[in-house]
This record gives sequence, structure tokens and C-alpha cells, in this order.
Amino acid sequence: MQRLIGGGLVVLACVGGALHLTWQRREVLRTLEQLIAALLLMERELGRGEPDTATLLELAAQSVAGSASRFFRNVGEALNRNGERPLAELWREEGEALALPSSAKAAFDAAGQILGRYDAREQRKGLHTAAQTLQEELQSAKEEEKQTSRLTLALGSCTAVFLLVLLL
Amino acid sequence: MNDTALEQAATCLPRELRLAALTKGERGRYEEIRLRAGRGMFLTGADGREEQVMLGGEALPVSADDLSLVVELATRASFQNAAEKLKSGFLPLKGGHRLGLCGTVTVREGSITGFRELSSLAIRIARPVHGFAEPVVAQVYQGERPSSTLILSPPGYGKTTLLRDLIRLISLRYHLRIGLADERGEVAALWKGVPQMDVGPTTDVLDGCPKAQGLMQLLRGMGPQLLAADEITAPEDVAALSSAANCGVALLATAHAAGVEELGQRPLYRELLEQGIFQQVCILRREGQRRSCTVEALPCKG
Repeated sequence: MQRLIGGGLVVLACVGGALHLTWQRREVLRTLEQLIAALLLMERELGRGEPDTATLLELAAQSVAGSASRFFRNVGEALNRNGERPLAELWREEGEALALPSSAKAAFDAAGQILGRYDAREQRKGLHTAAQTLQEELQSAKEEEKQTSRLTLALGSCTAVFLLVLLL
Repeated sequence: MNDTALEQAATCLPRELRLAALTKGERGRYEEIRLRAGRGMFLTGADGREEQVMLGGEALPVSADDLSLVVELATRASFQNAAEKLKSGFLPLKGGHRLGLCGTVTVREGSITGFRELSSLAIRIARPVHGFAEPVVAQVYQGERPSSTLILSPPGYGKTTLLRDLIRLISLRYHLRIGLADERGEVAALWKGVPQMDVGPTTDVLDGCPKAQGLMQLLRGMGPQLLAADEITAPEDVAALSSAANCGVALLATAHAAGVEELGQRPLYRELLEQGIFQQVCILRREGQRRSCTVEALPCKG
């Protein structure tokens, strides 16, 4: 009986691990989608009436959800508090909490280097480029996700069965 | 002397540079903070001489990144809002101070839109000189109403300072509704709608608008009893002043000229004299560090 319970727990742990990996990859996709939407919104708003950067960040925070929303809100608040540090630094630090692959993170950080430092046209260009790069990252992440999610689940299940056989 | 002006102007400096600037004694005597990438920080005294700020016996290091950070702090990371103001040659700072920039510019359609790289910057510290117009205010405001007065001097003698203090005193003492067309934000230095330089309680300020348009807008919208503007430089300004004078509004303005004779030699100002828009001129003179002003009546026209 104990072996059976142990075996059951092992199966659950393996499947759970596989599901967690899949969820993480989906979180990357969600974050990328939200960040792209926010960057494009900022680009549009800069083209309309040139709001200040704190307002732009607040608008971006309101337009998206989850960790992306937290990111823009935190950067905006840090900017309002800050009297010493560059926005790019605040952006980069706050971005550490986002679930992004390193190549996407670099493209996203580049947007932080441009925001608030140039005239509206240059900023719009920079935001658009960053959004485009993230869009490409999203596409490749989606393809990768399709391939690997089944594989992960299959591997997780196989590992579970293997351990179950060993245990029983 | 009041040293808060230097402290306020230094708030847009990175921490290390700010602390170094504020360690200097006699803060009240400095008129500018200058930063030059790779060369250091300098404070300019009232005599125009620059003193390099040292740290442990060596020149305080200043990098191009420090200059970028100053601009970022000064604009609250919103250069997009400042780019338009840069066309007038400087960025206004809270407190009426001004930030001038130098470096490699980016130009679009003939206008400076920003800087690719910064090489140096100057923060000009604004200090109101209360009482500067005291010797002439009674001559400007004679009897029941002010006389239209044109302030004259060569550049750098303090025309804007005199204009500001005249406006302040007339507002404070005679409670006149004054409309101020502050095209470059040098007189009142509006910041979030509040004048950073004291221009009196009854002065309405129109900031950032071309003078000629601004004067007409104030005239139509605010019903001023006195209209004021700095630096008459274009025929449109003269036309706007003429319209205002015809509406019975008193005028206060400034022009670059050492005296009435020099004024009459320039076509633009000659027209001002011929139209009899101003009843008197206030001439600023400087002998060494001492400045004085005298009021002279202009011959009546018509």
C-alpha cells in the first residue's frame, strides 16, 4: 500500500513538474504579448500629444495586466520618487522580475534606453523597433512552445512511469 | 546673500556633482554652474570668472553620461516635452533657472530636435533683484496711471531684471491688472502655472507664445490695464504694441539700444518712436559693478 501511495506521489510530482515548465513557457508568451501591447500603446500616445514619461508609464500600466502592468507601474513610481538615477537603470532593474528570455530582455531594455531621452519621433521609432523585436521573439517562442509542451508532458509521464516501475 | 537659488539650481545635478557644488563657500555669489565632459565642473561668479570645482585636490571628473543624466533629471525623463522649448536656446528649470546645452545636435527640417551627444552644459542661476526698479517706479507710474515706458540698454545690463521688478512693484503698489507676454519664459519663468519669479499678485502671464500674438491675446482675453513684453525684435511686435496703445492700454517693454539716439538709427525702433507708442524711455547704465537707471521723456507726437 505504501509503495502504491509513494508511486502515486512520484507520478504526481513528475506530471506537476512538466505542467509547471509548460506554465512557465506560457507565462513568457503572456508577458511578451502584454509588453508588445504596452510598447505599441506608448508609441501611439507619443504620436498624439506627447505626454510626459510618467503619464505614459501609467497609461501602459493601465492597458495591460499581470507582471507587465506591475512593471510599468513600478517604473513610473520609481521615476516619480527618483531624483538621482537614470530611467534606463530603473527600467532594467525592474525588468529583472519579468519572465523573459535574455534576447527579449535585451530588446526590451533597449526601449528603456530611448524612453524620455530623445524627441517624440525618435522615441516612437525606438519603441516600435523594440515592439517588433519582441513580436519576433513571441513568434519563435510560440513555435518552440508548441514543440516542447507535448515533449515535456511526454517526458514527464515517461519518467513517472519509469520511476513507478522501479519503485513497485 | 540668499544661497537657496544655487541649491535649487543644483537639484538637477547627479548626487556627487551636487554635493561638490554645494561645498563651495559664498554660494550666493555664483551665477552659473557649467559642466564640460572630460574637463570638469565650474562655477561662474558675478565677475564672470569661472572657478573649477576640485575634489581632493583634483578636478572633479565629469562624463558625457553625467551630462545626459542632468538633462534627464531636469526634464523628469521627458525630453519630448522639452524639445520644443529647446528651440528658444535653453530649457527652463523649476525656480526660473535655465539649462543651456552644447554638443552634437540632431536637426530636422531646420530645427534642433535634440542632442546625439552632449559636450557641455550651463545652468544659469536665476535670482530676482527686488528693489532694482525702486528708483524709477514713481516716474513710470505718475498720477493716475502708468506712462508707456521702453527700457533701453545694451545686452547684459539687466533689462529683464528691471522689467520684472517694475511689474512686481506696480502690481504690488497700484494693484493694476498687468498682462505679461513672456515669450521665452525669462521674466516670470512659469512652472506648472506658477511664476517662479515674483511678478506681483495681479499679473497674468502668457508663456511660450510669440510676443505679437501673445500681446493681442492678452489684450482681448484678459483686459489688462498695463501690457508688458521683453525684447521687441520684430515688426509684428511693433504692430501689436501699436494696436494695444490705440486701445488705451499702457505699455512696458525692453529693447537693445544704449540710448534714444541709437534707437532712432534702427528702422524697427524708429517706427516705434515715430508712432509715439511710448511716452518715455528708461535707460540702464553700468559703471563697473554699479548699475543705474534714468527716465527720459520722449518728444510728444501728433
